[in-house]
Amino acid sequence: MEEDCQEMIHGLEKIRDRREAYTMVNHDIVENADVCVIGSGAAGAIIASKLALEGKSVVLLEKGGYYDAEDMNQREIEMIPLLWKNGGATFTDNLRMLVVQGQCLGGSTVINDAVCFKTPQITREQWRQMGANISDEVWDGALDEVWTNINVSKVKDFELNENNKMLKRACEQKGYISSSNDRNCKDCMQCGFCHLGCHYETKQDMLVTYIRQAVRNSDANIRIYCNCSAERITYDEGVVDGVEGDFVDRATGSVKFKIRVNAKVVVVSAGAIASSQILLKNAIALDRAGKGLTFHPASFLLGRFDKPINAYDGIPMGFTCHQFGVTNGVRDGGFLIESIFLPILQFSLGIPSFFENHQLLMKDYIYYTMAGVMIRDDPTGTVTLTATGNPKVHYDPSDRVMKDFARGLRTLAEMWFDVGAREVIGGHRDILKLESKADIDKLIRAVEANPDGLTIASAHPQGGNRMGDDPATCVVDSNCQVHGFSNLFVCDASVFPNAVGVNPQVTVMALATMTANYINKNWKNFAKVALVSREGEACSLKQPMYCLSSRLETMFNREESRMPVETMINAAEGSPDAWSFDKKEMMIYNNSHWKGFFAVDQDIATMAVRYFGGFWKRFFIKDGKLAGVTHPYDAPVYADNVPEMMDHPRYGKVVYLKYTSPEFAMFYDLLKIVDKDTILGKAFFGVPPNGNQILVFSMSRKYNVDFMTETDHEKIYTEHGRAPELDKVLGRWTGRLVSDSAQTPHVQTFTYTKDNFGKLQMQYVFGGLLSGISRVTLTPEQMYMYDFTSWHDEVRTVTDDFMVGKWCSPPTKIPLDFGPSFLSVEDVPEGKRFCLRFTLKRRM
Amino acid sequence: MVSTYTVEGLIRDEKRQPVANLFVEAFDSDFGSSDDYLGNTFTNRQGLFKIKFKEKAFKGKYEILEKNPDVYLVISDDYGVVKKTEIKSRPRNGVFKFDVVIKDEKPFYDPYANSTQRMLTLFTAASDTANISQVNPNWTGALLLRSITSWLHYSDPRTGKIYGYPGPQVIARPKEFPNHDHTIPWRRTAKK
Repeated sequence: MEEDCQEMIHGLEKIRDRREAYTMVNHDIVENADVCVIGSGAAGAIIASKLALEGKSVVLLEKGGYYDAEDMNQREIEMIPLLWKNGGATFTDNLRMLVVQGQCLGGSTVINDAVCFKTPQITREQWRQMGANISDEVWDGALDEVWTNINVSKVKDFELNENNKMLKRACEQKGYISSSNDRNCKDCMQCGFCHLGCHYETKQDMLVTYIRQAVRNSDANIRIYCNCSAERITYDEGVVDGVEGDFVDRATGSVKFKIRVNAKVVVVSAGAIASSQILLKNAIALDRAGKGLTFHPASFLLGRFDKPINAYDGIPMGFTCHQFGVTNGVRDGGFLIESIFLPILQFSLGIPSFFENHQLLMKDYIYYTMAGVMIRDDPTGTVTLTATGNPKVHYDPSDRVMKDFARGLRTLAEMWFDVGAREVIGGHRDILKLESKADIDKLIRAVEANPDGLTIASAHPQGGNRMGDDPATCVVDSNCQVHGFSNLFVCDASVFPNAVGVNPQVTVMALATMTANYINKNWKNFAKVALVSREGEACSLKQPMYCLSSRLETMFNREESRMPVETMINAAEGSPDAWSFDKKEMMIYNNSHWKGFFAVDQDIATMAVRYFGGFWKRFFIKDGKLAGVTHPYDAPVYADNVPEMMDHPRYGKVVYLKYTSPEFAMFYDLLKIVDKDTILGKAFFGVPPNGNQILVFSMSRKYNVDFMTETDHEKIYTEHGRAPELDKVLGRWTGRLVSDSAQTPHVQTFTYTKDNFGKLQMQYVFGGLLSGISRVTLTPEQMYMYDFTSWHDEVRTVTDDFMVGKWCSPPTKIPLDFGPSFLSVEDVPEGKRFCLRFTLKRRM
Repeated sequence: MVSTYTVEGLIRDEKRQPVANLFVEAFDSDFGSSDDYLGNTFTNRQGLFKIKFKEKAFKGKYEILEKNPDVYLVISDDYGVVKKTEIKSRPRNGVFKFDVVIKDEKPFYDPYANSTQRMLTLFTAASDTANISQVNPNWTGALLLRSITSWLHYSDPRTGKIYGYPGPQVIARPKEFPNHDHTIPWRRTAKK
C-alpha cells in the first residue's frame, strides 16, 4: 500500500517503518499551492483533507512531529515530550492553571480521550445571538458528516470499567440525568492510555481518518510538513499571499531550514492560544485577537474504596453526568461531571500533596475512582505576546466559576460517599481528605475562602479570535474568514464566541467542515487571487544570502557562469541610479558595489561574523581595462583586484579575481556570475588552480532590508523616513541591529502604549534580558526616546510596518574615525557621536 | 599503459531506479598531496554518466611512482554531497566502472531518546510565558517540588507495580520488534 503512495508527509525525523510514506526535509523549501493550512489538529486536518480531495493543491504545516500508532509506547516520560505542547508545561501566566494541548501531526485529537459531543443547541443559539450566524441546518449537516467520518459510537455498557460504573451508579442513585459517552473509537482496546496516543490505532483521530484519507488518495494534491513552525503570514492591503516558517529541531530548538508557501488562501488552525499568537505576531486584528479566552477549567475528586477499582484498566472517560450542564438545558455556566482516570505519572502530578502524605495516597492508586467537574466558564482570558513572541495566557476564574466549582465539588463528593467511598480526596491544598459527608462543608469553605488553593487544569482552551459579524469586536465572520481580509481564515476552537460547554473536538471539526465547504463553494473568487512568486527566507540561486555553506558549495560547483565579465561593472561613483529602495518589496538595490554575504550556518565561525567581517567588492573600468577593489568594512583596506576569465579544470568557466597588491597576492577568488545581480564565489589561498579553499560566499546587488548596511540605513533614514504618528506607532515592534557583515537575529522588542495621560511611552526588552520604560517625544522630524542612560534613540517611520532608528551617544570632540560593522560614527554640529543602528518591524 | 581513461557508470536510488541530474566529480586519490581533479559531468535520465580524462590529469611532473589513478567519485544533488564512493585502482582497458546505489545512510532517529533534553527545551518556551509578579511563590514552589518528585518516582512505570498497577501494555520499543503482540494482559471487558 505505502509503496504506491506519493511521499506526502515530510519532516526532520527519520523514524523507521512509517505508516504513511515520509520524506526527510534536508533543505529550504519554496511551495506554491492553492491553500496553505497552519496546524493539523481537529480543524486543520479536515480543511486540508477536504480541500485536497476536492482538487485543490494544499500545503499543511504542523509544528509537531509525525508519530504513528507503533511509535506510541504508553510511556509517559517518553510520549509527553513528543505529543504534548511544551512537554505538557503550558501554564497561565501566574502558573495557576495547567493547559494541555497536543502538538504533533493530528494535534490534540491524538492525545484526547476521544469524547464526542455534538454542539449543544443552547450554545448554537447563544453563538447566533453573539453574531455567529450559522443555521441549525448547516450545523446539523456538518456535525453528521464529522460523526460519520470519525466513526463515533456510544460506549457500550460492557465497555464501562469500574470507575465509569461507579459514576453511573452514583448518578442513578441521585436521579441525575447522565449517559455513557459517544467516542470516536472503533473496537477500543480499553488500555487507558488515550493521553499518550493510541497504540492500537482504534482511536479515530485525525491521523487515521482525514489525514490518512488524503495522503493515501493518489488524486489528492497535499504536502504535509511536520516539525515546521509557521512564523509569518505575508499580506498587503487585506490580501494574504503566503506563509513563511521554520523547520525546528525539537531536541535543541534550533532552526534547521526555512519554508515559504505562496498560496491563494491561508487558513490558520493552530488551535486556541497558538492561532491568536500567530495573528498577533503578524499584526492581524491586533485590537481584537487574543481576547475572550475560555478554558473549561476542571477539578477532580477521588473516591477511595475498600476494594480495588482498577480505574486505569479501561476507557478513562466513558460516562458523563449532564444534570448541571448545558447538555441538560442549563443556559448560563453550569458544569458537567465526567469520569476520568490518569496514568500514574499524570495522576501523581495532579494530587496536591507531598512527601509521606503523597506516598500514602499513591499506594492506593488502584483503589480510587476519579471524576472531574468541568465548568462552562466565561470568556475572560487573554493571550498576549512576550518579548520573544511566545504566548502569555492570563486567566482568572470569575466568582461565578468558583461558585460552580463549589457546587460541583459538593455534588461529586456526595456522589462518591453515596456509592460507598471511605474517603474523598480533593484537589484543594487546604483540605486534602474528606472522611465523611460532614467534611464536605469544609471543602466548600476552603474553595470559597481560598479559591487559589484549588487545583484546576484545562484541556479545552477556546476563544481568542471570536467569531461574529461585527468587525469592530470580532476577528472572524461566520465563515471563519478574518474581517478585513479577502483570503485569510482562522478556524479552530479559537473562534468560539464563548465556551461551548462540552468537550469541543466535534464542534471544532464541524466548523472546519463548514469552512472547507465555504472555500470550495466560493473557489472561483479565491482562484482569482494572483499567486505571487516570493521565496521568503528560503535559500535559492536568486537569494543566496539565505543559504547554508553546503548549499552554496553545491551551487557554485554545479552552476555555470552565465553572464559576461562586464556584468560585474558597478555604477559610476556618485551615480544617482546606483541605489534605490523598493518599499513594497522591502528590497534594496545597491549598484555602488557588490555586497558580500557569508553562509548562514549556525556554527560558531559564522555566528561570529554577524557583527564583524563583512566586505564588498567594486568593479570598474580603469585605463580601458576591467579592474576591481575589495574592501572589508572593519578595516581601512582597499585591495586592488584584476578580474579575468578562466577555464578552470574543476569549475569550468569562472572569473579569476587576482589580488595585485603584494600583501594580498597569496589570495585569489573564483567567481561565477549566475545572473545580472548575483555572483557566487570562493576564496582561496595559494596559486590557481590548486589553491586551498578558504570559504564560499555570495555577492549581490539586490537584498532584503534585513541585510542592510549602515550606509543603506542612513539613506533609508534620510530619504524615506518620516516622523512617526502617535496612533500609527502604537503596538509591538521587533527589531534587529544593523550590521555591515550579515543578517543579525531579532534582539529587541519595543512596545508603544499611551500612558494614563495619553502620552506615548515605550517599553523595551533588549536581548530578552534588559527591560525598561523610555520616555517618547514626537517632533516634526522624528521620534526621540530617552531611557536611564545618556544615550537616546531617534526613530523614523518608513512604512506602516517598518521603522528605522539609531541609538546614539552624546556628542564628543574626540576624533572617531571608524567603528566596527555595527557601530557607526556620525558628524553632528557639536562634534561626533557613536550610533547603534537598528530596524523595527511590526510583523515578526 | 593507456593515455586516455574513462570513468563511467550508473547511479540508482534505494529502489534501484536511475537518478538523473546528479553532479558527478571524479578525483584521483593521492597520498601526501592534494587529490587530482579528473573531471565532472551530470547523470542523464538513465542515471548514466561518463567522464574522460588524460594521463596528465593525475600524473604530475614529479609523480614518478604514479601508474594508474586511484579513482573515486563525489556525487552531489542540488543540496549537497550525497555520496563519496570507494576508490577504484584497476581499470579494465582504461575504463573504471562504477555501479552506485544512493542510500539514505543516516541512522534512524530514536523518538524516545533525549526525552529529558527535549522536555527542558520545551520548558524554556513555557518559562518565558510566566509573569513573575503574579505568581504565588508558595503555590509555585509546591508545584515545582511535586513535579520533580513525581517525575523522579513515576517516570519509570515499573514503580507503579509496587501499588498493583501493571503499567504499559506494549513493549518499550515497538518498532524494533514489529511482531510484538497487541493483547492486553489485564482484564479487557468483553461483550457477554
